[in-house]
Amino acid sequence: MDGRKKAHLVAKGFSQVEGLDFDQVFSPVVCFETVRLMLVLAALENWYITGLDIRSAYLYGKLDKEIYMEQPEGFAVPRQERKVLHLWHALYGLKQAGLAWWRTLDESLKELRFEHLKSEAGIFFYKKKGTNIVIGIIYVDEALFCSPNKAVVDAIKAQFMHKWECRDLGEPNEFL
Amino acid sequence: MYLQKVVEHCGMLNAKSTSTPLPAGYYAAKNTEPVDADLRSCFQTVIGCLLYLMLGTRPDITFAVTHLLCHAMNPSQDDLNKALYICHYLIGMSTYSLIYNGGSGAGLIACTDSDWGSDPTSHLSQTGFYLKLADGLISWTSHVQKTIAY
Repeated sequence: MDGRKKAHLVAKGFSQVEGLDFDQVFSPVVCFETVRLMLVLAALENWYITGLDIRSAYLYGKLDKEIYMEQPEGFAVPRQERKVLHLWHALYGLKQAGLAWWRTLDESLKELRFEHLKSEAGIFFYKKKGTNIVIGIIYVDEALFCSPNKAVVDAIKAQFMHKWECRDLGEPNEFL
Repeated sequence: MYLQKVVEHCGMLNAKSTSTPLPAGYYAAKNTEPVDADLRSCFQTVIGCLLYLMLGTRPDITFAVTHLLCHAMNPSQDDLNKALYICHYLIGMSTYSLIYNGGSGAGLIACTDSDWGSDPTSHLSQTGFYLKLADGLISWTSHVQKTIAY
Protein backbone atom coordinates (compact mmCIF):
# COMPACT_ATOMS: atom_id res chain seq x y z
CA MET A 1 0.00 0.00 0.00
CA ASP A 2 0.99 3.63 -0.31
CA GLY A 3 1.04 4.31 3.42
CA ARG A 4 -2.44 5.82 3.61
CA LYS A 5 -4.60 4.41 6.39
CA LYS A 6 -7.97 3.25 5.24
CA ALA A 7 -11.25 2.67 7.05
CA HIS A 8 -14.72 3.38 5.82
CA LEU A 9 -18.32 3.19 6.80
CA VAL A 10 -20.21 0.56 4.84
CA ALA A 11 -23.96 0.30 4.38
CA LYS A 12 -25.63 -3.09 4.54
CA GLY A 13 -26.49 -3.35 0.86
CA PHE A 14 -27.71 -6.92 1.25
CA SER A 15 -30.76 -5.70 3.19
CA GLN A 16 -31.92 -3.43 0.36
CA VAL A 17 -35.14 -4.42 -1.35
CA GLU A 18 -35.31 -4.23 -5.12
CA GLY A 19 -37.90 -1.74 -6.40
CA LEU A 20 -38.10 -0.07 -3.02
CA ASP A 21 -34.52 0.87 -2.17
CA PHE A 22 -33.03 0.57 -5.65
CA ASP A 23 -33.97 -0.09 -9.27
CA GLN A 24 -31.04 -0.02 -11.64
CA VAL A 25 -27.60 -1.06 -10.44
CA PHE A 26 -25.51 -1.41 -13.59
CA SER A 27 -22.83 1.21 -13.71
CA PRO A 28 -20.95 1.77 -16.97
CA VAL A 29 -17.18 1.73 -17.18
CA VAL A 30 -14.81 1.82 -20.13
CA CYS A 31 -13.49 -1.48 -21.40
CA PHE A 32 -9.74 -1.99 -21.70
CA GLU A 33 -9.91 -2.08 -25.51
CA THR A 34 -11.32 1.43 -25.54
CA VAL A 35 -8.66 2.70 -23.19
CA ARG A 36 -5.95 1.27 -25.43
CA LEU A 37 -7.66 2.59 -28.54
CA MET A 38 -7.71 6.08 -27.06
CA LEU A 39 -4.02 5.80 -26.16
CA VAL A 40 -3.28 4.76 -29.75
CA LEU A 41 -5.25 7.74 -31.00
CA ALA A 42 -3.25 10.01 -28.74
CA ALA A 43 -0.01 8.42 -30.02
CA LEU A 44 -0.98 8.74 -33.68
CA GLU A 45 -2.14 12.32 -33.37
CA ASN A 46 0.59 13.28 -30.92
CA TRP A 47 -1.85 14.40 -28.27
CA TYR A 48 -1.19 15.46 -24.73
CA ILE A 49 -2.47 13.16 -21.95
CA THR A 50 -3.06 14.10 -18.35
CA GLY A 51 -4.58 12.10 -15.51
CA LEU A 52 -6.32 12.50 -12.20
CA ASP A 53 -7.92 10.46 -9.48
CA ILE A 54 -11.12 11.59 -7.76
CA ARG A 55 -10.98 11.21 -4.02
CA SER A 56 -13.68 9.02 -2.43
CA ALA A 57 -15.78 9.29 -5.60
CA TYR A 58 -18.47 6.86 -4.43
CA LEU A 59 -19.49 9.13 -1.58
CA TYR A 60 -20.59 11.91 -3.95
CA GLY A 61 -23.29 9.88 -5.69
CA LYS A 62 -26.72 11.50 -5.29
CA LEU A 63 -29.47 9.09 -4.29
CA ASP A 64 -32.88 9.11 -5.95
CA LYS A 65 -34.40 6.87 -3.28
CA GLU A 66 -35.11 7.57 0.35
CA ILE A 67 -32.74 5.34 2.30
CA TYR A 68 -32.41 5.05 6.04
CA MET A 69 -29.60 3.37 7.89
CA GLU A 70 -28.97 2.26 11.46
CA GLN A 71 -26.36 4.30 13.28
CA PRO A 72 -22.97 2.58 13.23
CA GLU A 73 -22.14 0.71 16.42
CA GLY A 74 -19.98 2.76 18.76
CA PHE A 75 -20.57 5.96 16.81
CA ALA A 76 -24.21 6.60 17.66
CA VAL A 77 -25.14 10.14 18.68
CA PRO A 78 -25.34 10.19 22.51
CA ARG A 79 -28.90 10.15 23.87
CA GLN A 80 -30.27 9.72 20.34
CA GLU A 81 -29.23 6.11 19.93
CA ARG A 82 -32.71 5.06 18.83
CA LYS A 83 -32.75 7.35 15.80
CA VAL A 84 -31.67 6.28 12.32
CA LEU A 85 -29.69 8.10 9.63
CA HIS A 86 -31.25 9.45 6.45
CA LEU A 87 -28.72 9.13 3.63
CA TRP A 88 -28.31 12.08 1.29
CA HIS A 89 -25.45 10.58 -0.65
CA ALA A 90 -24.42 7.08 -1.60
CA LEU A 91 -22.26 5.02 0.70
CA TYR A 92 -19.94 2.09 0.07
CA GLY A 93 -21.98 -1.08 0.06
CA LEU A 94 -25.17 0.38 -1.38
CA LYS A 95 -26.28 -1.49 -4.48
CA GLN A 96 -26.72 1.64 -6.56
CA ALA A 97 -23.60 3.47 -5.34
CA GLY A 98 -21.69 2.93 -8.59
CA LEU A 99 -24.50 4.06 -10.83
CA ALA A 100 -25.34 7.00 -8.56
CA TRP A 101 -21.73 8.19 -8.83
CA TRP A 102 -21.71 7.81 -12.62
CA ARG A 103 -24.93 9.83 -12.94
CA THR A 104 -23.59 12.55 -10.69
CA LEU A 105 -20.35 12.63 -12.66
CA ASP A 106 -22.23 12.70 -15.97
CA GLU A 107 -24.29 15.65 -14.76
CA SER A 108 -21.25 17.61 -13.62
CA LEU A 109 -19.43 16.91 -16.87
CA LYS A 110 -22.47 18.14 -18.78
CA GLU A 111 -22.01 21.48 -17.03
CA LEU A 112 -18.48 21.50 -18.43
CA ARG A 113 -20.04 20.77 -21.83
CA PHE A 114 -18.86 17.19 -22.01
CA GLU A 115 -21.05 14.50 -23.45
CA HIS A 116 -20.70 10.76 -23.05
CA LEU A 117 -20.69 8.40 -26.00
CA LYS A 118 -23.81 6.31 -26.45
CA SER A 119 -21.80 3.18 -27.18
CA GLU A 120 -19.26 3.66 -24.40
CA ALA A 121 -20.54 5.59 -21.42
CA GLY A 122 -17.09 5.97 -19.86
CA ILE A 123 -15.83 8.10 -22.75
CA PHE A 124 -16.68 11.79 -22.57
CA PHE A 125 -15.90 14.29 -25.25
CA TYR A 126 -15.82 18.04 -25.32
CA LYS A 127 -16.30 19.70 -28.66
CA LYS A 128 -16.73 23.39 -29.13
CA LYS A 129 -16.32 25.48 -32.26
CA GLY A 130 -13.00 27.27 -32.49
CA THR A 131 -11.21 25.14 -29.90
CA ASN A 132 -9.62 21.72 -29.79
CA ILE A 133 -11.43 18.56 -28.85
CA VAL A 134 -10.86 17.05 -25.41
CA ILE A 135 -11.58 13.39 -24.67
CA GLY A 136 -12.08 12.12 -21.15
CA ILE A 137 -11.62 8.44 -20.34
CA ILE A 138 -13.17 7.79 -16.98
CA TYR A 139 -13.07 4.51 -15.08
CA VAL A 140 -15.14 5.12 -11.92
CA ASP A 141 -12.71 7.41 -10.10
CA GLU A 142 -9.69 7.43 -12.38
CA ALA A 143 -9.66 9.74 -15.35
CA LEU A 144 -7.47 10.54 -18.30
CA PHE A 145 -8.00 13.65 -20.40
CA CYS A 146 -6.38 13.91 -23.79
CA SER A 147 -6.34 16.67 -26.34
CA PRO A 148 -4.13 18.06 -29.10
CA ASN A 149 -3.82 21.25 -27.12
CA LYS A 150 -2.19 21.23 -23.68
CA ALA A 151 -3.59 24.63 -22.70
CA VAL A 152 -7.17 23.58 -23.47
CA VAL A 153 -6.98 20.32 -21.56
CA ASP A 154 -5.25 21.94 -18.59
CA ALA A 155 -7.95 24.61 -18.40
CA ILE A 156 -10.69 21.98 -18.44
CA LYS A 157 -8.87 19.84 -15.93
CA ALA A 158 -8.60 22.83 -13.62
CA GLN A 159 -12.36 23.38 -13.90
CA PHE A 160 -12.99 19.71 -13.18
CA MET A 161 -10.67 19.74 -10.17
CA HIS A 162 -12.50 22.77 -8.88
CA LYS A 163 -15.71 20.71 -8.80
CA TRP A 164 -14.22 17.53 -7.33
CA GLU A 165 -11.46 16.95 -4.84
CA CYS A 166 -8.83 15.18 -6.93
CA ARG A 167 -5.32 13.84 -6.82
CA ASP A 168 -3.47 15.24 -9.81
CA LEU A 169 -1.49 12.50 -11.55
CA GLY A 170 0.11 14.86 -14.07
CA GLU A 171 1.40 13.06 -17.13
CA PRO A 172 0.47 9.57 -16.01
CA ASN A 173 2.67 6.50 -16.26
CA GLU A 174 -0.01 4.13 -15.07
CA PHE A 175 -3.78 3.81 -15.32
CA LEU A 176 -6.06 1.28 -13.61
CA MET B 1 3.85 -1.76 -10.44
CA TYR B 2 1.10 -4.35 -10.29
CA LEU B 3 3.23 -7.25 -11.55
CA GLN B 4 5.74 -6.61 -8.77
CA LYS B 5 2.98 -6.79 -6.15
CA VAL B 6 1.73 -10.07 -7.59
CA VAL B 7 5.21 -11.60 -7.61
CA GLU B 8 5.80 -10.37 -4.09
CA HIS B 9 2.50 -11.88 -2.98
CA CYS B 10 3.55 -15.26 -4.38
CA GLY B 11 6.80 -14.94 -2.43
CA MET B 12 9.02 -15.22 -5.48
CA LEU B 13 10.84 -11.91 -5.61
CA ASN B 14 14.20 -13.44 -6.49
CA ALA B 15 12.87 -16.32 -8.54
CA LYS B 16 14.48 -17.39 -11.78
CA SER B 17 12.72 -16.64 -15.01
CA THR B 18 11.53 -19.01 -17.71
CA SER B 19 11.48 -18.23 -21.40
CA THR B 20 7.96 -19.48 -22.18
CA PRO B 21 4.64 -18.95 -20.38
CA LEU B 22 4.07 -22.73 -20.20
CA PRO B 23 6.32 -25.72 -20.98
CA ALA B 24 6.18 -26.69 -24.67
CA GLY B 25 3.39 -29.10 -25.55
CA TYR B 26 1.88 -28.89 -22.08
CA TYR B 27 -1.75 -29.85 -21.64
CA ALA B 28 -3.38 -29.61 -18.23
CA ALA B 29 -5.17 -32.81 -17.29
CA LYS B 30 -8.46 -32.55 -15.47
CA ASN B 31 -8.17 -33.05 -11.73
CA THR B 32 -10.23 -36.03 -10.53
CA GLU B 33 -9.39 -35.59 -6.84
CA PRO B 34 -11.98 -33.98 -4.55
CA VAL B 35 -11.73 -30.18 -4.22
CA ASP B 36 -9.05 -28.88 -1.86
CA ALA B 37 -10.48 -25.55 -0.67
CA ASP B 38 -7.12 -24.03 0.37
CA LEU B 39 -5.46 -25.00 -2.86
CA ARG B 40 -8.38 -23.69 -4.87
CA SER B 41 -8.40 -20.36 -3.08
CA CYS B 42 -4.64 -19.98 -3.59
CA PHE B 43 -4.88 -20.93 -7.26
CA GLN B 44 -7.76 -18.56 -7.89
CA THR B 45 -5.87 -15.68 -6.28
CA VAL B 46 -2.83 -16.22 -8.49
CA ILE B 47 -4.74 -16.87 -11.69
CA GLY B 48 -7.02 -13.88 -10.99
CA CYS B 49 -4.00 -11.60 -10.79
CA LEU B 50 -2.60 -13.10 -13.99
CA LEU B 51 -5.97 -12.63 -15.69
CA TYR B 52 -5.96 -8.94 -14.84
CA LEU B 53 -2.44 -8.57 -16.23
CA MET B 54 -3.45 -10.49 -19.35
CA LEU B 55 -6.49 -8.30 -19.98
CA GLY B 56 -4.56 -5.12 -19.42
CA THR B 57 -1.17 -5.32 -21.06
CA ARG B 58 0.04 -8.92 -21.50
CA PRO B 59 -1.24 -10.55 -24.68
CA ASP B 60 1.69 -12.99 -24.56
CA ILE B 61 0.22 -14.96 -21.65
CA THR B 62 -3.33 -15.07 -23.02
CA PHE B 63 -3.26 -18.71 -24.05
CA ALA B 64 -1.52 -19.89 -20.89
CA VAL B 65 -3.92 -18.04 -18.59
CA THR B 66 -7.14 -19.02 -20.37
CA HIS B 67 -5.88 -22.60 -20.55
CA LEU B 68 -5.33 -22.81 -16.80
CA LEU B 69 -8.55 -20.95 -16.07
CA CYS B 70 -10.51 -24.00 -17.20
CA HIS B 71 -9.29 -25.68 -14.01
CA ALA B 72 -10.25 -22.89 -11.63
CA MET B 73 -13.13 -24.95 -10.18
CA ASN B 74 -10.92 -27.82 -9.04
CA PRO B 75 -7.23 -27.14 -9.54
CA SER B 76 -4.49 -29.68 -8.81
CA GLN B 77 -1.11 -28.87 -7.26
CA ASP B 78 0.30 -29.13 -10.79
CA ASP B 79 -2.10 -26.41 -12.02
CA LEU B 80 -0.90 -24.11 -9.25
CA ASN B 81 2.70 -24.87 -10.18
CA LYS B 82 1.94 -23.98 -13.78
CA ALA B 83 0.29 -20.71 -12.72
CA LEU B 84 3.49 -19.91 -10.82
CA TYR B 85 5.39 -20.93 -13.96
CA ILE B 86 3.61 -18.06 -15.76
CA CYS B 87 4.74 -15.75 -12.96
CA HIS B 88 8.31 -16.95 -13.54
CA TYR B 89 7.91 -16.11 -17.20
CA LEU B 90 6.58 -12.64 -16.41
CA ILE B 91 9.53 -11.92 -14.13
CA GLY B 92 11.86 -12.39 -17.07
CA MET B 93 9.62 -10.40 -19.39
CA SER B 94 8.70 -7.61 -16.98
CA THR B 95 10.40 -4.97 -19.09
CA TYR B 96 8.33 -5.88 -22.14
CA SER B 97 5.42 -3.59 -22.82
CA LEU B 98 2.93 -2.54 -25.46
CA ILE B 99 4.36 0.35 -27.42
CA TYR B 100 2.21 2.46 -29.69
CA ASN B 101 4.35 4.16 -32.27
CA GLY B 102 2.47 7.19 -33.51
CA GLY B 103 5.23 7.95 -35.98
CA SER B 104 4.82 4.58 -37.68
CA GLY B 105 1.47 5.65 -39.12
CA ALA B 106 0.61 1.95 -39.22
CA GLY B 107 -3.08 1.28 -39.77
CA LEU B 108 -5.30 -1.48 -38.51
CA ILE B 109 -3.92 -4.99 -38.85
CA ALA B 110 -5.90 -8.04 -37.80
CA CYS B 111 -4.59 -11.58 -37.45
CA THR B 112 -6.35 -14.77 -36.50
CA ASP B 113 -5.28 -18.37 -36.19
CA SER B 114 -6.53 -21.61 -34.77
CA ASP B 115 -5.30 -25.13 -34.33
CA TRP B 116 -7.29 -28.26 -35.07
CA GLY B 117 -8.62 -30.34 -32.22
CA SER B 118 -5.50 -29.88 -30.11
CA ASP B 119 -7.11 -30.75 -26.81
CA PRO B 120 -6.40 -34.47 -26.31
CA THR B 121 -9.47 -35.11 -24.15
CA SER B 122 -12.25 -32.97 -25.61
CA HIS B 123 -10.85 -32.60 -29.16
CA LEU B 124 -11.89 -28.97 -29.16
CA SER B 125 -9.84 -26.47 -31.14
CA GLN B 126 -8.26 -23.28 -29.87
CA THR B 127 -8.80 -19.95 -31.63
CA GLY B 128 -7.16 -16.61 -31.14
CA PHE B 129 -6.95 -13.20 -32.75
CA TYR B 130 -5.36 -9.83 -32.31
CA LEU B 131 -5.89 -6.33 -33.64
CA LYS B 132 -2.98 -4.01 -34.10
CA LEU B 133 -2.98 -0.26 -34.55
CA ALA B 134 0.00 2.10 -34.68
CA ASP B 135 2.27 -0.94 -34.45
CA GLY B 136 0.89 -1.98 -31.07
CA LEU B 137 -1.78 -4.46 -30.00
CA ILE B 138 -5.13 -3.04 -28.95
CA SER B 139 -7.28 -6.15 -28.70
CA TRP B 140 -6.62 -9.87 -28.28
CA THR B 141 -8.23 -13.13 -27.21
CA SER B 142 -7.53 -16.82 -27.10
CA HIS B 143 -10.31 -19.26 -26.38
CA VAL B 144 -11.49 -22.80 -26.91
CA GLN B 145 -14.02 -23.16 -29.72
CA LYS B 146 -17.55 -24.04 -28.69
CA THR B 147 -18.08 -26.87 -31.16
CA ILE B 148 -15.91 -29.74 -32.36
CA ALA B 149 -14.47 -29.17 -35.83
CA TYR B 150 -14.37 -32.00 -38.38
